[in-house]
Amino acid sequence: MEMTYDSILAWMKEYFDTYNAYAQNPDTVHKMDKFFAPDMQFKPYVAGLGGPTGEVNSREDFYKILAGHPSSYETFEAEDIVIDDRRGVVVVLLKVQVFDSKTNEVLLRKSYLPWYQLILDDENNIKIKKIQFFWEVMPPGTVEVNELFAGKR
Amino acid sequence: MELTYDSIKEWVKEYFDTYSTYGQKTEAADKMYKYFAPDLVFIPYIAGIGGPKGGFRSADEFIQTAKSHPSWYERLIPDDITIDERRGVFVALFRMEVVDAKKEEVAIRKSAMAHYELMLDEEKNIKIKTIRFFWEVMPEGFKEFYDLFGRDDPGR
Repeated sequence: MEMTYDSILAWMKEYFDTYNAYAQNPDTVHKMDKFFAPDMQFKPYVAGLGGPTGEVNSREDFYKILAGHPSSYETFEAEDIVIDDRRGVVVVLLKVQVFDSKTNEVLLRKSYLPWYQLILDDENNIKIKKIQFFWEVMPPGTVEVNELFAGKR
Repeated sequence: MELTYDSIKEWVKEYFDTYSTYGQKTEAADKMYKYFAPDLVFIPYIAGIGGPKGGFRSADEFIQTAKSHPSWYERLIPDDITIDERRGVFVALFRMEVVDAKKEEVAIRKSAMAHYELMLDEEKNIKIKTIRFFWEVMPEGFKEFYDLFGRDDPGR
């Protein structure tokens, strides 16, 4: 695959569909291997997730986070996809909902703004090499995503 | 001017330089009208400064607010610019330095990322139509600019 504007757009849509369907289940999280470089890096500009110096530096470690919160799950809806095809960089404005896994009740709605550096691997498949991550700051007293993932209600 | 990749890149650099140098000075902030559509929308995804339903709905409101906080100013230093040439959208990842104007000392350092929708006005000048603004979430107890300097809304 080449990294053209349209191929990146189609790939990002597939990435989010796959994320929503499989990424948060330990039995299926490895379907995300298609999308992440083995040495992918996740850099959260969110203190509660470790902050920018608390990076995750491999997809296996990232999977532990994605599939490590069985009591709740999140879904992503891409509201806007910004594609810099010259540099292979994408930024997505995401509408996020967090659900209780047992009841499917919506526990939280907020927005994220992740930045993705894409690369082509040895077989010319697009992969995410790096994510730089920002999220909406909610009003005081809101139970945050990381707290919900830790089981707090 | 056309909305090409390279013209957007140059324009964005000029925008950040102008904002940091002039955008918060009472006598010079009007220079920012060059960069904003009159009906500019500024949407902060930050509850402490209004949340997505707050923010500003005109260039006037933005510029007036930006020059109305003499006790502090901010410098925005872009680290990465993502340019979607096809859609006339860019995203900037930048460092923010909030400076105590009296002491001339940096009081806050943090990062932010903002999403900008561009347009061409009737005279083919690039203007920002919408800004969607996110900033780094700092550790508990960290004092934001409004904790240090009062509740003026930020202008950027």
